[in-house]
Amino acid sequence: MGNNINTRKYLGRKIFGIAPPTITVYDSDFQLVIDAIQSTGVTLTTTQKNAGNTLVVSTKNSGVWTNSVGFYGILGGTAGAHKWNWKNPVDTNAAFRLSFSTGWTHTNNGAQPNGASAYGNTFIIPGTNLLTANTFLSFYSRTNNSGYTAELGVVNGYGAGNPTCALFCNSSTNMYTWINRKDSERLLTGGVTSGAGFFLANCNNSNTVTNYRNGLSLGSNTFTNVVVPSYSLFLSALNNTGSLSNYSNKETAFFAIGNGLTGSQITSFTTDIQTYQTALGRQV
Amino acid sequence: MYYGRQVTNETAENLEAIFIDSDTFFHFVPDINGNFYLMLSQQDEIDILQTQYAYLLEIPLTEYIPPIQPKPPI
Repeated sequence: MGNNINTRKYLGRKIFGIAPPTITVYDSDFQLVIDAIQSTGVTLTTTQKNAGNTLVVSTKNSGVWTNSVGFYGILGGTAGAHKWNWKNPVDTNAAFRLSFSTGWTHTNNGAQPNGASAYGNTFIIPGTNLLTANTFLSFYSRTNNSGYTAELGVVNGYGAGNPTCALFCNSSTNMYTWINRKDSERLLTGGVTSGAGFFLANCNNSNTVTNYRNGLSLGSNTFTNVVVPSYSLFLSALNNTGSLSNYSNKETAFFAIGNGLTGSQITSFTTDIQTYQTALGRQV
Repeated sequence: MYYGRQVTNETAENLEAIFIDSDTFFHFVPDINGNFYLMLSQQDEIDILQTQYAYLLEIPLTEYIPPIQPKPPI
């Protein structure tokens, strides 16, 4: 018996130009979003998944994700896909999943209300679900128009210093916001050159409310009478104790609501949102 | 200019906030004269066509004139 040497040879075909399959691992929270959207029958593209994942990861890094109570990426092109709160993609009112009225048109560019009857219910009640004085509201508008319309809004009845939480992006070049203050304590800032863009109103630990468009401050003021609405914040209309007005027809491609942000967080957030919209080819 | 389908007050009351599917619910709005209207997107019409509410699509479209908005909080 000599040494047992394996002298067998194998033949195969060398294949050029075919990369081995890659397995992409997404952020665990964003994977839940993917699962929720795709459970409605929508198949997200790789571009959409990568854009959403980048947004979640980058807002986690800046802390904006943690501060957000409602975070709506408006991804997938249908009502079923757009309804999810990415912070908690569970199909319940308690998870702040959106419900849409009739009158919306949903596409891969965003969600567009008709401006006369359409609204969405976030189920976020400022008096219950947000820090009272310190809150941010944000809205990415793809529609350049002007009108006294509420992109986000709730008020406990008009007048008499009733609590209000609302964002009106563009009324004749003015941006109006109320951050859980008396309805008389609204911040009016001019200089809105377009109704399209990323609008944000913020108050963070100082009673100073500041309005932003595309990351640039439009102005600030100090308001001390903190009062919070006890009804749900509506999307694209003003919820006045269950009676609606100020319907908007601005197409939204993102909005978020949460607890007050720092200046550096707002800068990062603006960059992240622009990157997200650009990746999806729907930036304005 | 807006167009919608005028419905009776009874229809509006009965169907308000009723879901067409898992994501979208009916919302009726009064016009300047207090008549209720249903305004649908094309997507809504496709969704409703497959439901028991398809009869609403047979109502002709007419011009909707919104009521004067209440004084906003400014």
